[in-house]
Amino acid sequence: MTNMKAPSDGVTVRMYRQGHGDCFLLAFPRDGGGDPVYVLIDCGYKPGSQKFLPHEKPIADFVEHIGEATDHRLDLMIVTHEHQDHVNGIWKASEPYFEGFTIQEAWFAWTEDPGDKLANELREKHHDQLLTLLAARNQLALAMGDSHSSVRRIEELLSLETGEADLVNMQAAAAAPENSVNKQAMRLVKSKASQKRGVKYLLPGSLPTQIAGTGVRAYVLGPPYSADLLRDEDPVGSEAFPRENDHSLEMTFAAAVRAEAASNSPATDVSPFRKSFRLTEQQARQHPFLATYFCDEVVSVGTEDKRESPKNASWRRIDNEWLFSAETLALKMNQGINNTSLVLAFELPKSKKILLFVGDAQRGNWISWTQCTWKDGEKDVTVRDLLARTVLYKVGHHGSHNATLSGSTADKYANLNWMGIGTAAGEFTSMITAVNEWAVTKNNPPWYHPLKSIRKALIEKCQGRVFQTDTDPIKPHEVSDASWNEFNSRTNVDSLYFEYTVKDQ
Amino acid sequence: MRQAPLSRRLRVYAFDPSMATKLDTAAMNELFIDVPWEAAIEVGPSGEYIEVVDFDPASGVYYKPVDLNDPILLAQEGIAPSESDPQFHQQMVYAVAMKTICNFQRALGRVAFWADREFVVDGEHRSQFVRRLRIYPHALRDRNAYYSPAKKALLFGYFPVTRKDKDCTPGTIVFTCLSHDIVAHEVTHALLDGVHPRFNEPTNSDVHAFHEAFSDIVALFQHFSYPQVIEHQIRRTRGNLETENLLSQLAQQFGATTGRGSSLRDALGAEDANGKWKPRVADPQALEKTAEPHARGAILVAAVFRAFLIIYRSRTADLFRIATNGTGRLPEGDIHPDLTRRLSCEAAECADKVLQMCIRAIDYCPPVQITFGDYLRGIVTADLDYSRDDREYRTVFIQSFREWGIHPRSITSMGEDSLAWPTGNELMEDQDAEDFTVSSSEDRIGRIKLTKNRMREGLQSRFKAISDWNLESDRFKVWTSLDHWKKQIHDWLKDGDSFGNKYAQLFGLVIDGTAPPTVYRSDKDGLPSVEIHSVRPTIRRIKQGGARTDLVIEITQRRRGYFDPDKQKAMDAPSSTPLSRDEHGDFKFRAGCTILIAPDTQEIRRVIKTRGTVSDDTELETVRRFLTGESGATGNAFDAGLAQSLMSINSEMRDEPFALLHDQEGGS
Repeated sequence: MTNMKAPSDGVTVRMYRQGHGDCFLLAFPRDGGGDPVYVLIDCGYKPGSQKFLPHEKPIADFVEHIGEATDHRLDLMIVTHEHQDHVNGIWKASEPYFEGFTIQEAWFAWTEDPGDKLANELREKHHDQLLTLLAARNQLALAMGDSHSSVRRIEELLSLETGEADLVNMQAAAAAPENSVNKQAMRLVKSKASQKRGVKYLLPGSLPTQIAGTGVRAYVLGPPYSADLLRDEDPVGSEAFPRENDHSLEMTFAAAVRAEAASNSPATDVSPFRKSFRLTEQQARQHPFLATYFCDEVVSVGTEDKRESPKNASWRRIDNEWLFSAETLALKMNQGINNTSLVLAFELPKSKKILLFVGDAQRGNWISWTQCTWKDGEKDVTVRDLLARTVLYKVGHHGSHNATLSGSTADKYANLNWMGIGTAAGEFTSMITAVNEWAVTKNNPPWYHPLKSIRKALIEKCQGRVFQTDTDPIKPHEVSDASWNEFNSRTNVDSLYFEYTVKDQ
Repeated sequence: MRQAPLSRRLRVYAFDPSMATKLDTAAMNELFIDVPWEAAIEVGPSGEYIEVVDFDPASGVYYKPVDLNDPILLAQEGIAPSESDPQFHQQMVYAVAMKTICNFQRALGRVAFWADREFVVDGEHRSQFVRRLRIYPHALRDRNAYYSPAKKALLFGYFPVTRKDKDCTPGTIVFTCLSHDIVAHEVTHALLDGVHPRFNEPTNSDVHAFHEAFSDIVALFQHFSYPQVIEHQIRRTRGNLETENLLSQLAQQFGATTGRGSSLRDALGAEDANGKWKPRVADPQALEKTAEPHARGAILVAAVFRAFLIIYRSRTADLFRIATNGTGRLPEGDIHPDLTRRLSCEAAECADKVLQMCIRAIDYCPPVQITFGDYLRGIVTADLDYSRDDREYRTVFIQSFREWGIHPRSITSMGEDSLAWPTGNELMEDQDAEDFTVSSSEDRIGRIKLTKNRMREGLQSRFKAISDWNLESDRFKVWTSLDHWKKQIHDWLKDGDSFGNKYAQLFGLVIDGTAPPTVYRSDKDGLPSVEIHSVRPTIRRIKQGGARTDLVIEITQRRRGYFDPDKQKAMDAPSSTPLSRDEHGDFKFRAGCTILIAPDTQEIRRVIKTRGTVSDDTELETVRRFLTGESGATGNAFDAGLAQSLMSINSEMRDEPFALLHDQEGGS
């Protein structure tokens, strides 16, 4: 196989079809000639999703493909955020996928910056929550069985956060997250890049960053520099946390679930009330009221129709209900990490066309973009301006419901209709990383990735120029042959990837 | 022998513990609530409606239940408010819950029932009477409190404070069960579930929002039943309740400790970015821009609260004129204590009427798929039936709802006659006009009279078969007799007379073979099933001044819905073999009606239909779009439209078909 070629001007974007997840290889012409400048954005997939694609090839084949296309030399690697479907193609325990690659430079969001206090606190909190989540999962499994749908749901969320596909590894990853697939992947990229030109942690609104060897500049739109990122009700940062040996810390959900997981029995000496008010399970069984209303379990009797339900019916007990709080936590984490997605607008030097890569940014990330403005010489550059010039949009989070905001040009927040306006409209194209047939087998109601209405809106806006992992672009009736042929002339459809060239003119 | 007291007086926080440590509010915050005297009360407390079971599963301990009949407590109105005494917590949840139940019963004029326990044994659906709502004051370690329909229980959480600011002390613990508003809110969820169990199924963006909003409304207006609270706030705001005040806010401590500003929700306004409180202006576009249930619910609450304020302003205009010699400008400083008292009385009276209207309206809602517009129609119709001559309140409600952009779909005017749900007569006239396009009016009147007579006969014989019952008797007995009515109504609808089909059409039901194959059918006759959700009495005022009791009957039909429209089409294709009972589809689509009947005259007083029948593909598509997240960005990153929470996964019992009288009963 030959190397991937860059166009004489502009860029060729290769969207891999490895499964339900992101992996993009960009080839730019190098200033002063020579090999193209290769930029890789993310490399991951949801395990199992590749089986729903005609090629059914494992991720290793794709990494090999990338290696051959680039001679195992990446000028720049960008990881948008630390979720399984963006990073699990980078590392594995034996012979890590990207071990043999040279990575000149790496970009991450500010949330990965080890020198940033807020980033460190967010990560610490994430780890803390991971541990709690795992403990809660174990307690629930103990109470309801491994295959209970509640347990499964928490596991699904855990696997996204750790990158691990099976439970044993998830357990290990939560205990020591630095060993998880996700973290190892991040570390591999960082360590390789730091041996070369280095690692950049990007802040939104900062000066546009140049891709070395090209005139292409990247504007950083997100994630917002804000503690609200995790969408937690708790403040982070300078505000007070309870002191470490504070008694009240023992009153948290986390403390209870972890103590119980450790000893397999609740820590009965930790309660918000004095001992004289408390009754142990045993004492409660002796207590006339509690024995009547709660303790004696009625299992076999009391199921007749049209009767009064017995006082001590076992279906009214709440032994496990408190563990369901884990779910809120898990969902909060999931959304939080999606919102740490690095959002980049690449600007081609001559035509000033924009390629917009939003990772899995969701609403919280999107609505923060307008806080950024940049100076280009004397001129102000706004987000509205960048989006208007966008000719290629990498659709957020598999085209799901809250990762592409709908709206109108009049709205004050960034949305799909801000994109591809004026001269960019005729060229506006989008890429959806989704394997729909796989996604609808997950969750209930299923994951609609992409959401029909979003796909429809994109197809309309792009006049059919939509690449989706499992679906080739289809020419709509109303689009003229000439315009479709022009699009096709810049497109290469392969079963393993789509290749699409944007000219810098 | 002396008579037992009518009520038991118990101490609670008027708001929550955060008000007890501020000089300005401390005195007002300790409140005595009068709850009905329950002679048979047990420790717990456990009475006729409520049982408090204080089990703290995360700590693995129980807390000793309080004995309200302990002479020491009887002599001093219960335990004094305390955060560190769990028995005070038990007392407070009991007292606030009972107060909320009383408000509910007074408005509806009937005893309250909790939702039945529904379950399946060997494929057979069963239902049981649940006498008491269970309250677990310390069930969770979470910033959360919820009503569990599966357990018929309220679960309250507690959590340590992590913030440090003027309102928050890190390390202290917040108990959600000590917030008057949170308790009232959760009890209302349970009460509403007892009336409308299907309102737990979110099938459009209003259903969950309505549950939240209704619970907020009841909690908010309950503030106005405590004179010391109103007077305090009237004094502080100098009678202007449109400025920031505690009456319009919910859950101050919870809001402050979770970083939401001065309260969890505020029906009047909110803090801006600089922490300055600003009133919220009615926005007729707000609903279109809001999908999240609490945020949508807040719009309904704001509309109702605004209606209250308009009435309060108009009712107190004279007092302000008197106090200001007609200038309308109050002098600086405090207002006169007499004025405070008079204004407080007016505020209390208006608030009470508004609350009663809001509660009464729930009998006038469709059994499933409620929208805010339907609720407005319910408020207007219920009030028309209850006090036809006094239209001031109705007018104000319509005005306020219009200003907030809440209006029913498919009505041609916002006048009260268009908003009112149709009567049986009106529907029969329309039906007749449809069946006989050309006809003399005498013929029409004659035909309708005949139909009414036939209908009446059918009902009369059914109603006769039922023994008399009254609201004073044991609630289980009432439950049993109401349950018996369901069967009678069901058989009347199914068997009817020779006009059977006509009634069904009148009520928006499909009971003939024209229903698509995915509609659930009876094993007995292979025709579409009809489920009678509930039969319950409701009061109506009559011209002579007394009150009458009507029966509210809720009827629904079920259909299998599929997320994939092509699959739906395939399943709905005509076929000779009926779908298996085990085929449940991806979701349930329900449609039906609520009918109000006067049992003495057998007149159909009101018919409240869902927008489409169970055969309606357009409505099915609307529900599908909502469930799959196509109709707005709700849910979270993981789930579109409907977040499938662990709570709902674990309430399998409620996912089972709700079929008290569904047709496989074979003689139950």
